[in-house]
Amino acid sequence: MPDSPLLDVHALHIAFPSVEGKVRAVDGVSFTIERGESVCLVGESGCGKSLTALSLLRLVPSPGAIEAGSQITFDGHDVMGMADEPLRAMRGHRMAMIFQEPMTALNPVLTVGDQIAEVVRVHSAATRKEAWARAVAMLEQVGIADPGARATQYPHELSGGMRQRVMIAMALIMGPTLVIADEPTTALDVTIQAQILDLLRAMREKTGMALLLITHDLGVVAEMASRVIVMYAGRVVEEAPVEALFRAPTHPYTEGLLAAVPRMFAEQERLHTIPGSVPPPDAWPTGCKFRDRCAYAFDRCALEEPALVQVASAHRARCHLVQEPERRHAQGAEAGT
Amino acid sequence: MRATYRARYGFDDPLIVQYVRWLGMLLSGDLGWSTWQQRPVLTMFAEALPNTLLLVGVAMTLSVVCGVALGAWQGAHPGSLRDRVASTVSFVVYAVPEFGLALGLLLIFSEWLHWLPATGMTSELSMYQPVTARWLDRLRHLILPVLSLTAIASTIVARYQRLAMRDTLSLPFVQTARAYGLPESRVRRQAWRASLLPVITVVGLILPSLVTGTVFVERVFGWPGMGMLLLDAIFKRDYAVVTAGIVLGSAMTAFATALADLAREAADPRLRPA
Amino acid sequence: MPSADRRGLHRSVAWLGLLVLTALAAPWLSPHAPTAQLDLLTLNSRAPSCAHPFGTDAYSRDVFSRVLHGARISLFVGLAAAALNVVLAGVYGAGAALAGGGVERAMRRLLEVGLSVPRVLVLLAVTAFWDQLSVPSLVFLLGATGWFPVARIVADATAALVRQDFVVAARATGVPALRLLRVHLIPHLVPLLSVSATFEVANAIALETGLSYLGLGLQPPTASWGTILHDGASTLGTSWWLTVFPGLATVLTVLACHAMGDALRDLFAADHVATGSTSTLLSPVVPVPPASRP
Repeated sequence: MPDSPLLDVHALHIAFPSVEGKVRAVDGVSFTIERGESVCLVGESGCGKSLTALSLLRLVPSPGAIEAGSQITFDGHDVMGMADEPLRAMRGHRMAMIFQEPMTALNPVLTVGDQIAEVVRVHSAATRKEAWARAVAMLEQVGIADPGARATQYPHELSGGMRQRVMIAMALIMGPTLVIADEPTTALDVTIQAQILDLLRAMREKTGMALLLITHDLGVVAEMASRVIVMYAGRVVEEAPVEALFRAPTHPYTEGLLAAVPRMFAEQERLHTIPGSVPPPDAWPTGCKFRDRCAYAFDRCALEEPALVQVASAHRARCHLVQEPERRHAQGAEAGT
Repeated sequence: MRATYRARYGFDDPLIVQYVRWLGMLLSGDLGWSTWQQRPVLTMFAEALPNTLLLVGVAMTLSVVCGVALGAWQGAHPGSLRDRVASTVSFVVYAVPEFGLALGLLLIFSEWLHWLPATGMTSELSMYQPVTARWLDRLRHLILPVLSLTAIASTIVARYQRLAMRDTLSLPFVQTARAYGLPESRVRRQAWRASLLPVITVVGLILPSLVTGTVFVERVFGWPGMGMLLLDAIFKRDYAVVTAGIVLGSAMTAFATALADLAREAADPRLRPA
Repeated sequence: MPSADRRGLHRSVAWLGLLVLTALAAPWLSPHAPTAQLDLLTLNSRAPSCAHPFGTDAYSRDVFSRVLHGARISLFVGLAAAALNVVLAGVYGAGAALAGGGVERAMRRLLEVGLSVPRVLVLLAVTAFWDQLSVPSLVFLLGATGWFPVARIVADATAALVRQDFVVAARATGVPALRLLRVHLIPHLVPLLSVSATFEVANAIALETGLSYLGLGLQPPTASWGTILHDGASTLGTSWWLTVFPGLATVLTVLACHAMGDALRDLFAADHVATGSTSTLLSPVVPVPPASRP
């Protein structure tokens, strides 16, 4: 099926039980990823982006659970309906995940070579020697010098950047068609960040894999994405190709995020901030979830939650302003840039 | 009469001289002369040591195996019914003093049920029996003393392994393993390897208690090991044997603790010198 | 606290309460004096009966009375030894940590030495050379040998406390040392020491009974649970009551103390950060378990 998207997420709901009943951390998220595409999922902490990523592999930690009615289709297969064994075979093989903090994401008592080789052995008929050889080769591909020696080292003996390269090697070794990277550079120094991003880009070009990059850093978005999905309070609030997003952000939240990035040559006395903070899932306001922090909120915003509407081709936003653009002026509060 | 004895055994000399002489003897491997059995102390211990080592060795191995198995089994399903039942039983066994457990086992299995022999390492007529019967006889004598020691030590190991397993399973790398499609059995194996460190540490800790437990257990079951030797020597006022026994006991404990430290380094690469 | 644990705790407290009452009331409760030798001919080694619920021993003494009096001894030894233990550990440990620097290091080294010899061996050594052990001497001996692990825990806890910012701030603002101790250190150490003390009571009772059973602790005709066990050691098959009753009493008491100790520890851990947290697992330093076995 060459024309259908590689990944199709539809109406994803993830809920957690709480004292008051079920609380939705991810509330009806839908998006697609095409083959070979590079998509960034952006949002603040607590918006549900990591959970969304985990749900693609059905790894949402209990007591959280993906609710019925959520559909995830990967390469034509229904992930939600998969039996355990095909799911296990898919994980790390066709879809792989790179985690945020490699120091804790790697097993401290096994060598990095062993950990990568184990992935190979689980997903193929390779012998121990073959798997080890492939692991070492992969380490070299991700830019680790002297890979044969490095493979015999333990995670704590490597630097942060090298550990992340190890994670990338582990993710790519079975040649997945989709790689999910959950904040892969957040825990790293700025200079190392650039190296890792370059590596991811290079691997993409080489293998043609799709990349879903989760981040809160717009600089990373600008570097890596061809398309951006912005999430807020468990929902997708804007979706656009990267240039369109940066040039003409529609949703006030996106506007705020872009405005908050400090600029080198702009004359700013204070950094722009979005007032307030993300409400927790059990305290979402009625109507539009962003309205308490929105500079343009008007009466309709409290009454009904906006649907995701088309702004331009391939550009959608969840805001009443799309249909009522004349309302886009500050309601007493400060405007954007 | 007493004076002659005192002179012969050197008890006449001032204490400090005796001490220095004793240290010198110790360093050259001579543990002194037993006034009770009229033979070198070293020989007496050389005879008793294998018996104690047999007891402690078997108990130690079984404690670790059973304790780790039990703890890992519990830790993988914390809070379940079997976990709670096992924890309660463990607690009771753990708190009971060794001699209490030994006496109880002796009473029930030997005196009342007559399933297992009461004392000693072998039965009296066993030397006249064929080899297999002799080994079986030895085994039957070994069961109760080993059980007394193992039961208590394994609960300590199990407690630590359970906690370690439960905590390790909630660490991030376990999620990574699952995310890469490792089957649950391999995930647990990875987690178990990472959980070993606290367990090995506690193995080092139970060694001293096994050594001291041996003293009581050997007394209860009449096992001719170092504990029995020490106790008998105390009653016979054979001070050479007593001091040698204390020193040997402490040395063995120290040695075993050092071994445990080595094992810790083997288990967790982060502890190895860089 | 799960309900099963709570039930166990209630039972332990009940048992210990009963024990304390029995111990206090023993002289009035026991039908005979513990060392009274009754009819030497007919009452020699009798199995339990209505007149003698725990039977009689080889010297025609009523075992029930002996066990009751044994409770007095066990409790006294346990509590007194634990008290001594806690005082020594507290003073030495806190003192070392507060002294700091080279003094602290030296004191800790000495503790290491003390810790390297197993307690039972030390006890054996001393009782070997010490002939007639009286109850106070035994208390002193037990108290003086068991405090090393607790002292180390106290030293660590005090050192951690002293390093905390609020203590540094208090010192900087000239709060006198004694007041600092009273207001901050004592409340910090009380939970620790009470848990240790409870376990130490269990240990002391177990050790006293064990040593007396071996013939090295208290001596007959003193009626302690251990001496009764000693009396019954050679006649295990025939006079089982000499082993079963004092044995059960010891085991139940030790169990009850352990249960209480665990409950106290859980109670206090709810307020403090639990030592079994994942951070300690990620780092190779393992917390020292409380001194809960000899």
